[in-house]
Amino acid sequence: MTCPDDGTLRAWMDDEPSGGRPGGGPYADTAILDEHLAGCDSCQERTARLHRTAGLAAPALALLAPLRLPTATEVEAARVRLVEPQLTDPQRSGATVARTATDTSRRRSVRLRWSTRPLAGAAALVLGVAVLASPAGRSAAADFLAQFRSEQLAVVAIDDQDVAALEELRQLGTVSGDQAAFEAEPVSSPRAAARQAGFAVVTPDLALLPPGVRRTPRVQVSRPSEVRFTFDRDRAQRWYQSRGEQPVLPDRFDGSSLVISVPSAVTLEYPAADGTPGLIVGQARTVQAVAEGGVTLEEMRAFLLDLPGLSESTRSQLESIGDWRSTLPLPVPADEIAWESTTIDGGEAFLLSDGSGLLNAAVWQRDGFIYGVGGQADIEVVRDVAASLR
Amino acid sequence: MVAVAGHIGSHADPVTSRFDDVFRTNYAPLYGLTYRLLGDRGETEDTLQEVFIKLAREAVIDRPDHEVSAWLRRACLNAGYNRLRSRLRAEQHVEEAGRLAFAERTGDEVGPLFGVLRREQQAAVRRALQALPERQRACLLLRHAGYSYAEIAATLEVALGSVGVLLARGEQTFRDTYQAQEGTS
Repeated sequence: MTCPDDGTLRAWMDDEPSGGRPGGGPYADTAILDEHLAGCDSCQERTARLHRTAGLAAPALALLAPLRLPTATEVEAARVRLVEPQLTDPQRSGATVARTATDTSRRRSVRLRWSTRPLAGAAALVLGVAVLASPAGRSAAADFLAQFRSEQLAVVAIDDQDVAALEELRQLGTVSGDQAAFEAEPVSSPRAAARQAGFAVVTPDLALLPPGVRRTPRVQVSRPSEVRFTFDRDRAQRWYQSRGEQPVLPDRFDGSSLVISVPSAVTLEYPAADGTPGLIVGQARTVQAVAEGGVTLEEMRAFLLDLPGLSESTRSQLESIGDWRSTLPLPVPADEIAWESTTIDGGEAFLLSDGSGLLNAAVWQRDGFIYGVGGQADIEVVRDVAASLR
Repeated sequence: MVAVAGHIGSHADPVTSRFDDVFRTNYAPLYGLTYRLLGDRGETEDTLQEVFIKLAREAVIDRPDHEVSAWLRRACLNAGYNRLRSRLRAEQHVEEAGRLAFAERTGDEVGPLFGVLRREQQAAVRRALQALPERQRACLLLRHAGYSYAEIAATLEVALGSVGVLLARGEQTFRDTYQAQEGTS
């Protein structure tokens, strides 16, 4: 009997019918194929080869999957977006409808929302630091200049709703700062990075890096910089008016600023064989913030926690941070990244994992530095590399 | 302005509830498939809108569910390929202008670290997939999006017995190309 072709074997591997493929002949019957395979070395070898090939393709293709599928609510919203222009226009009959520029701009605004997410990230930092201030036990004198210095981290799970709420926050003022400072600059070695950053740069035990990752890192340094968010009454007013809403920003917020000192950071990137970043080790000094102008940090915090739009879950997570003067909230999209707390080298740390399970990271703060290790490695590898930093 | 005659909007009409049912049942799985091809949330949503608008005009909507689903998957893959082709042209244009950084777009920013890693890895996988003939590429995407051989055969309009062959050849070509990228960056 002639041997089955690759397609028949491939279908057999998936426990799928080969559909009586021409040339598949009798092998459409799985029992006959099983029997043949048991006695045919050549077919066993081919099956093993097909397994290896499929085994390489599967995890690579898994990377293309979306982190999550749309929820029933989102599907319904998409359906309404499609149907709504027709339902709301009495001029149009049910049988013939027209797609107009309105609909195009609607879709464009949906796109815009996603492409502005990095900016929302900056706003999250503003909010995150601002809400650190809590009113409890503060003296009135100290309110003129409230200071914050991060000494530990806390994960705050956020959702799409919060991202939208934070985008709205941007409408209430202006962000200024030295954007160029965020551009990391390549340097030749960890030692060169240390000279530039002004602190000793830690490196991992190279024996612990994942297999296939190069041992020579690409090293980058970013300069320290300052980001300033200044409340602007006129801008806020215009924005509320455009939405037909009552202004909620108190007048005395006008001109007050939240000033965040973004620290100098060093990243060591150990590339995978294909040139993608295999594992990244990051180190930065602590984040600091001060309030300037007539409004205190706790007043800013109270206002921001009252933002309509902010989810109840996020609000209560932020309110429950006890040591507000020194705890940096780490906003994490709950539906896209899983996290747990752990200890690294005796200190508290957070392990983060994306939906595919292929990317893992650890972040923690110790002795005046924030550290991060992450990449295409098992969570145990990430943890071991993190513990080995010296 | 494009006139669309069809099933959308006449909500008292039984055909509209048919459209709504089809939309609700198929949207999420089609999103999963199309996103694999495009890797961009906004573009995926736009593509699905186009495809469902097209569906409203087609007689196929009155066919049995599995035929409608197969038609939708085929339409999404074709629309996705078209977008990829025009994106490729746009990126070449952007590259010439020396602004390569803007060419790599993604809809899901999940923090700077994950964002960079995922983008680069996804780009490597997509480059390897580009080397495959369209049918093999579609076969791989469909299989890894969880569709059965029968559903794949219906989508690609091929015999059931050809799916295993397409898949085996597709995986082999993918593996060769993907591994050939090693050492280059």
